[in-house]
Amino acid sequence: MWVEKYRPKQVDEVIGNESAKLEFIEWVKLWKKGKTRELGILLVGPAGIGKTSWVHAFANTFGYVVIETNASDYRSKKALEDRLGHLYKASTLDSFMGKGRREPLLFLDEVDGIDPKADSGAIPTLISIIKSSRILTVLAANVLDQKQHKLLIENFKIINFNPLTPRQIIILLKRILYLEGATVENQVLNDIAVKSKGDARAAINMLQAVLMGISIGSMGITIENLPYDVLLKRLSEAVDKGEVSMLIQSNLNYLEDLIETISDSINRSGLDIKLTALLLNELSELDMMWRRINRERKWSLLKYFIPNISDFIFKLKKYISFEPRITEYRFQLFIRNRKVREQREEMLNLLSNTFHLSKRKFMTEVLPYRYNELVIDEWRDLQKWCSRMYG
Amino acid sequence: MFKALIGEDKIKRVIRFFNAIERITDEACFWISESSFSFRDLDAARISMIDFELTNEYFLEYNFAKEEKIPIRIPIDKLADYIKLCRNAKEIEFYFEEGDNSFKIKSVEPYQRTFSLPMMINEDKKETGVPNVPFKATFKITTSSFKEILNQLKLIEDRIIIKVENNAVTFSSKSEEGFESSVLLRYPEHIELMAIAVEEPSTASYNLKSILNIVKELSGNSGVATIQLGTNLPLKIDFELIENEKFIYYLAPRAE
Repeated sequence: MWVEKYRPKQVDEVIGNESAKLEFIEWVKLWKKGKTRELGILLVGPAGIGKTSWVHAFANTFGYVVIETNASDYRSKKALEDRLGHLYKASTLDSFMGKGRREPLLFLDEVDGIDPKADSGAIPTLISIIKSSRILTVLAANVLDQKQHKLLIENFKIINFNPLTPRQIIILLKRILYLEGATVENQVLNDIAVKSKGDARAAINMLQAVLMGISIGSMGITIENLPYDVLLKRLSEAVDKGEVSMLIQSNLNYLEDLIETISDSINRSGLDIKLTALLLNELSELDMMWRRINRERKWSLLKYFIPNISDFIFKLKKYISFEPRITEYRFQLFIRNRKVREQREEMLNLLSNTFHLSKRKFMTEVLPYRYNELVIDEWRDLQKWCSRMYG
Repeated sequence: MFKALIGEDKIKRVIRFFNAIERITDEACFWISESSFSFRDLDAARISMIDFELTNEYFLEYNFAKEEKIPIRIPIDKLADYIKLCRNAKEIEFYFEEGDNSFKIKSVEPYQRTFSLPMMINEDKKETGVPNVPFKATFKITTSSFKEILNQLKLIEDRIIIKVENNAVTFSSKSEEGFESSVLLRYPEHIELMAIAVEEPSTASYNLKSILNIVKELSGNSGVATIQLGTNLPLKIDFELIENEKFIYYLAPRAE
């Protein structure tokens, strides 16, 4: 991948965000003199604009060895303590492995993925590790929530990274073309610069795709956070497993919906019953794995799960098409309005009492299949329906 | 494509090796080649390293169909848990086929158990080198005494200071609150200290828990360990093992 091949090695190779980079270096200078109030730096900005590249280039240029950890792998207090609790200043084995004596730089990406409630204690633990280790620490996040990430905001120097301008993207792409000994028309470069919306990673991927013969018009702007129907369409059109895998990885928030859409599509496909059973069995195993990863917050298992589900989806494309529609039994997810939720709660109370079932059982096992009968415009109608049907 | 059969007498040893590896990482990247099954990697904080190898002769049966060695990444915590369940089995088999994305374990007798773990062939992974350290002092100690010393000092602080000079080794720990403890071993008076060679007197401090975690696991497999260090240099613990086994642990020094 060109994204890796052309990752900047030195600070002067990193394009864009000049004032942020300067602010970063100035802060490190002060930190080294012990004149900073903050524990470390928190880089904030959308994916693909060079936060990770900058940290690596900075470390290479100024003689640090990067201890890189993805916060999504170690989100819990215990995992952080186990794996990073032994960090202490200026002593990593790298210094003794022919890389010269270099100080460590702890880089934790995706800290916005730590949920202060679900992963309670993780952020205070992280702060205490950093305080006791006294090593240069850089965190990175795509977005920050003032309330949820209050502790991080209070303890770290926030430096915002912005998307690159189209002109900067063109400079970056021209440099890569020069190194590759390739050429493309200026119009194509302009199109990529506009389509990538300041995302350098997306722009480099597009350039590589163009040189592989893929037309720029057929490319989406970005593969991250796609609307659900667009994601399904892109999955249906994906040409290889790698593309499916990238789409899934960039849109993990839809995974639950995706599993249910696939299940629904298999059920409606009219395939041979044995094949249907096999596919559903495989899907249920994937579903179980996904739910366990979620429940136990073992994000490190994602790297095994994603190739598995990508293989499955790619294989499945031979048999069925994914219908971009909301499956019947997911309707409750869309009931977001408080009033409607309360009404639903009241409705469930009545129905579960009427049918002598728990609310949960009713919600998951009965309601999905009787929804058309039960969705009635007026609440009173439902009461009438209950008394008429079951006295 | 890959098959390795572990005999009854070695199952518990392998369990201890895997438990030790689990102490430094959640996911282990093992290298499989025609000649061996090995692991050499740093922990996430890059302060410790394990260099572990079982050669093909270690196994009752060992087959690997490729000429080049491949790195496979598997969740070591689960691997350790699964084979722990098979500790009384007659044989344990590790295997996977070309194109598989799962690593399989099968044990036979008292009854057949099978496990499958997600596996990833990590083609981008480069082999980790070994620290090149000009050690200044070497001593040989029984693992049981070393474990006992570590257990004593952990009551004070999660930090051990090892001082080696002439014919003596002092292990000590000191807390900021004023608690302190130490153990002195002299050669040849104390039989626990089996040998000592000092090029220059050395003192260094290390994270105690990290060492204890490894020594606890390995003391079941090895009776003697050779320890090397130097002032403000890493610690190297080379465990004496049976033929075709290798387990070396490195730990970076603490900078106070």
